[in-house]
Amino acid sequence: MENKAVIEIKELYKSFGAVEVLKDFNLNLFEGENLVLMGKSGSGKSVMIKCLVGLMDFDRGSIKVLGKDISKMKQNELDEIRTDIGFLFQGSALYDSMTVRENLEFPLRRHRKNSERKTEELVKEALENVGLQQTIDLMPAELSGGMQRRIALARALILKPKIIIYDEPTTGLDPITAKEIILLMMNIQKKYATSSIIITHDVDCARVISNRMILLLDGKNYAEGTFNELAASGDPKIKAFFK
Amino acid sequence: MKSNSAQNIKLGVLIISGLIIFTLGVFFIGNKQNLFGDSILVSSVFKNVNGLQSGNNVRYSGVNVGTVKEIKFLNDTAICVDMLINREAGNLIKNNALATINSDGLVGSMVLNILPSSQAPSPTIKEGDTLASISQVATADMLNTLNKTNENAALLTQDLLKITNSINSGEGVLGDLLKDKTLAKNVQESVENLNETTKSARLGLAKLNGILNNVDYENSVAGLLLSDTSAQKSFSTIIKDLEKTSSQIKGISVDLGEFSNNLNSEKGALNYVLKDSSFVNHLDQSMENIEEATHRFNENMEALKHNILFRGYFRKLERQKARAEKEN
Amino acid sequence: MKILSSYQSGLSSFFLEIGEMGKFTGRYFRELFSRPFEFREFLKQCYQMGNKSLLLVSVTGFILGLVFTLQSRPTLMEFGAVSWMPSMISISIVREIGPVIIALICAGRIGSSIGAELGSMRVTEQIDAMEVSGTNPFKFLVVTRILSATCMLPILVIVGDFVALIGSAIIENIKGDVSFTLYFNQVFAALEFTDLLPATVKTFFFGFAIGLVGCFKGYNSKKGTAGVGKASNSAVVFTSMLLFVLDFIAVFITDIFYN
Repeated sequence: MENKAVIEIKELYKSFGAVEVLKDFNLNLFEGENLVLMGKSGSGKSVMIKCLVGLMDFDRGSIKVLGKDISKMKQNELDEIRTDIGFLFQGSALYDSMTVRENLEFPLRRHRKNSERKTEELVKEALENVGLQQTIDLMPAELSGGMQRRIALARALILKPKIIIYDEPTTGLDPITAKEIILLMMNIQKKYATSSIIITHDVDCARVISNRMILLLDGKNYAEGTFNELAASGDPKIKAFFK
Repeated sequence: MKSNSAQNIKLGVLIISGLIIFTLGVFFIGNKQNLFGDSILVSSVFKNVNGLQSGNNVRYSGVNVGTVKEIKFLNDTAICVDMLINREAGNLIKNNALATINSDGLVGSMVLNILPSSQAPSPTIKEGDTLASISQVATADMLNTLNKTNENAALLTQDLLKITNSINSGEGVLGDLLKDKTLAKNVQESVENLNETTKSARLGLAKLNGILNNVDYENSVAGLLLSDTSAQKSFSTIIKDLEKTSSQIKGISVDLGEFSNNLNSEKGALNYVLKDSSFVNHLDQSMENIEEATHRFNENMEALKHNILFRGYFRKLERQKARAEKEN
Repeated sequence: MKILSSYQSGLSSFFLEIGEMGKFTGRYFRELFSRPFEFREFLKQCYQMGNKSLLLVSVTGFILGLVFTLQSRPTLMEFGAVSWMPSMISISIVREIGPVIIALICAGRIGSSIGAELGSMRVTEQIDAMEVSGTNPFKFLVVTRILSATCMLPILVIVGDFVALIGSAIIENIKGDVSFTLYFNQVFAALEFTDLLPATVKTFFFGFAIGLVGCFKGYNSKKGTAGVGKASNSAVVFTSMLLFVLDFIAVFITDIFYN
């Protein structure tokens, strides 16, 4: 399974004023694996992924996505590489001035020169994947939190990205809906053979989905291993994660 | 998709109507300034333009026919005013017309008026013509004159007011005439008397007429009287005497008039008494003095009563008085 | 000392804001002239700002004309100058009151809605989501909104002016027996290009200011729902102030050029 790294992060430093959020952070994401990133609030997880997709500049280090260094990219190259990364935001981040259909069409219209019919087909397919075909003409505000999350997932997938980043996919959802989302993520993983980084607090989620885990502490990757390895660890700091 | 195109149609309607309103606005304003129409450029030279501005109206016989395009100095005393006149009106304006600058009402902006000339007919104006100009009194001058007039009027009315006041308060002849009731009464009486006199004169005349008609010239005394020459003579002497008497009466009345005139003028003692206010004052004073004297005398007498020497006498008087009352 | 330093920090944050807004403006112009242009979004925003504000602007304009005429009538009657009413009303509406009042109304309507919309998009990570999906959110959200505000405000002002004049004409018609023909004849006799054109040019700047401040405040809003409220509120406040400053500058420049 460990064949090729799609994301390589080396010695990443990022600070806001005097506060160092990331110091010497390293990460490798290999093709086809589900990597779970766990860490306390404020440990720099969100900052890390923002740096990863170029939403934020970093101070030192290098980030390579699909073998290309993103810090040296021009805007249009960055936009191009971003189409290979799907991003599921914590709060779904659906465009609330647009219908579900327009939300899903949005990335398609910008990056794929498809016919209207093809676009329509892709939208339908994406909605089928998350099982919400009937919501196509609704506004995001009319949907429940779980449905919004699923639509957001459909949107993240619509360009068939090679990498998907999930930012706390299950927070704010009830356990049953959370489980549904996790199952959906696993199905997609199988169907499209994507590599994913999953940021979560949810131990259940981590156990179900992870191939490998990284624990983030004080801006560094504190520990790395499979769920079972880490859960069995005697280190009190690691144990704190699994409570 | 459908709602999208419907939105775009509505948007299009809004934008186009906005542009139409704007264009119409521009057109109407421009039309007024003759920017779009076919127009003729004419100029005129003035000494003073009285604040005329480019864009002000040009009128021919009171109708707006164009606008002032530009105002520029030719030299220190001449200002050239270029104006655009629409061709339609331009075909009616003769090149001997006169240009003048007036104000459009008291508070209005300036207007360039073109007045048709009353002189011999001449060709209509054409591009680049220069119209003769006449300068007219500016509003300011007009207002100045008006001001003067107003002041004079104020003085006049003041004087008039004084005169009417003095008339009302009965000063002067006119006042007398207006105020004197007795005069009016006299005049009225005279008129009435006159009326009566003329009435009785008419009656008298009628009677005389009747008598004359009844006179038998030949058989009556009257006939004798009228035909008798000796009687006629004595009759005429009587008339002559009468004449004399009347002339004497006239003389007397003249004398009387003179006398009364003298009375009115300041001659004569009577007049002195009547007219001299200082005399009246003296008289007044004398009377006052006399009054004071009697008052003092009274006081003295009172004092005398209380004097020891005279007290007895006065008591005796009182007693006699009381006794007399008892007897009564 | 404390007060002084708080003033100092207030002043420096003010300059910081102005500086950032300057940068924001610079970015706007850079992105405005680079491809691709988000034409669909532009039209959508034009519709949102133009057609959706039309009723508000019309009603406001109509009442403005009505009230202005009613209020001025007694004064003009005192001077026996009621016949100057159309000229006076039209000049003041077209030159000054129309653009400023309608721009203020639009600052409330458009500026706050841009501020709130972009603010909530920022807060709920929609802007990030847009950027991650390979779309330049600045171009998509900011450029289109500023541009459509710049284009729509002049049209709204023209319509508003027109409606205000109609309102005024109705009052004159009822109270003063002035026919509509006479009214508008007098209006156009009084108006000059120097009234209409600077006033219209000015409205483009007003629209630009409304869009710019709304977008700036919303785009840079802080996290949390309070940030959204603050963004829309300060967008309106700052825009209103900026409108008067711009109006002053516009009148000043007009004055220099035409007198």
